[in-house]
Amino acid sequence: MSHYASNAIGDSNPLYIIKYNSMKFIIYFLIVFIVISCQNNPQFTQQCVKGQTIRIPVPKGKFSYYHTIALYKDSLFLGVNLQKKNTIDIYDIRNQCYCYSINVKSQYLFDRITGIQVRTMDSIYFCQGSPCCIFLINSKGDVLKTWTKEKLKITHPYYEQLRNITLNFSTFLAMHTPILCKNNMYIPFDPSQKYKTGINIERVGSYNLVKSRWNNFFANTKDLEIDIINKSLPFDLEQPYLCQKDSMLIITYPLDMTIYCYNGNSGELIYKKKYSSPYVKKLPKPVKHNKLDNCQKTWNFRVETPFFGPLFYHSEIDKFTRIYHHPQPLINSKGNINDGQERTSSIQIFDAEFNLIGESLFFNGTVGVNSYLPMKDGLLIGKQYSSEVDSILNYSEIIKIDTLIHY
Amino acid sequence: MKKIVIISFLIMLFSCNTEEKKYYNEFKKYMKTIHQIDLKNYDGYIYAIHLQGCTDCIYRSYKLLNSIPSSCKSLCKVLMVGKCTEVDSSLIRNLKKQYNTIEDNMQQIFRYQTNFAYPIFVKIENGKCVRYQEVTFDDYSEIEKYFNNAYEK
Repeated sequence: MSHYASNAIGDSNPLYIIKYNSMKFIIYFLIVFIVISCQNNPQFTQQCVKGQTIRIPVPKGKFSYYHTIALYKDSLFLGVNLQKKNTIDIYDIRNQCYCYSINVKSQYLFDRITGIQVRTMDSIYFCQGSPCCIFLINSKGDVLKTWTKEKLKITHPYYEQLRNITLNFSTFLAMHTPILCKNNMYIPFDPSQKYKTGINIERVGSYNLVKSRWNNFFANTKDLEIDIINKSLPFDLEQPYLCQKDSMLIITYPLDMTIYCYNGNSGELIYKKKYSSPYVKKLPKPVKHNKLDNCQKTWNFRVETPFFGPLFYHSEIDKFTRIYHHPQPLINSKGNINDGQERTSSIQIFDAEFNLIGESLFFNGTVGVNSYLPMKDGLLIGKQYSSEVDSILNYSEIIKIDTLIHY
Repeated sequence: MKKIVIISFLIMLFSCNTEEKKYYNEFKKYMKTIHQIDLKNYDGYIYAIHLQGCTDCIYRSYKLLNSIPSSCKSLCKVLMVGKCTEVDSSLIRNLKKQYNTIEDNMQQIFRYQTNFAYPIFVKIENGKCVRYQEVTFDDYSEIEKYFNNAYEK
């Protein structure tokens, strides 16, 4: 190096110039190589593999696609379709057959059954989004208990901001389900867009079903990495997803990489984890309110934007998964507004500390939006819904999480 | 020349604005492609409802369409998008008795950029769009008055 340094500036020997420039190039290349090597390249050790394909014929009057879905003990699929919003259709995915339907009649049930949580098949909880309500039914559809909006009114002295709002549960959105935990239910809600006024406000509550009162609230808007107070996203892309492991309540959002971990009892934000993925390049940021001032602009945003599904915990293997729907063009190859049939999605796999340890790609709408459910060691997935295929239950692929073998 | 300028100005003033025009053009394309209805030859109203959309929108639309004078009903087509729920089926059957209806069970309207989510109210005069409006919660009484005024004329 010093030899070249001593033949320094001012030396016009062509051979020297070539050697000097070559050395500069080598040094530059080395620096870039070292910087790139030091990037956090994930070393994947896990992958998704195709398990069983199930084929369940749909009886007449039932549906291939459901707007509310749930899975009980990895074997019973429960679904509610908009066309029969008070009826839960039940399928056995192990024996690949339709079982029976539960029809619910209640003077308080005006809207679709949502947010199904099954304790046992004779103890099924579900929610109504608006007016907010929680129901407990048995396998015959008899309503055993109802928590109406009067019982759900927030009177907690500490949470003054929440006391004067109209509470609507976000559970009408398929993947924004509540979580049943012993005598409590964690529920995501939209407090009438109150967080847009700049007031720090919580978006998730823990409700005691025995005492019929709220325990605590979580997910204050000020915790978020993205600004949904001064800016906007389509309504559904601002709602929190819930996940639970042990005493931790884990909250994620459709357009935020970050995973937020709260103490499930106290409501305290314990930590937040941001990670990187080779496939998630850039998530759109919230926009000025007037950019989404009509339905078509909002819909177009929804079509094009990449976004996350909920975080799922798989107890048997102590891992988490999260589905990422990749961006797609507004207009598809047929010249129409894209319906997601050609969309790529990935299933991200995390260890217990939320380190990304695998990411598998699925193409051409194989992993449909709002069409997946967690199992103890994998996922039950359905394709992006196409109304042309109505004779077979859409939720037909079992995906397992397995070790990735490097050759 | 002055008359032409004034008339052109009045037509521009009372026809759809640019954004509405863009959505109306997509709506025209949708009606022709999916329903074989050429709106260039149309004169009257079209009211589009999403039967799988918000419950409040369905009930308010039903109430509005029931209240319109009969002479206006004959000039109005009702476009029904999606499949109605069990609960709403009797309301929809009743509407079908009163109106000339068009059905889009497969919800193909969403393949086009028509700004359809809330109900849409369209008025066409001699093939020209005079009004293309999404009907949100505050608009129902205004649309009802509009129809009543048209009836009185």
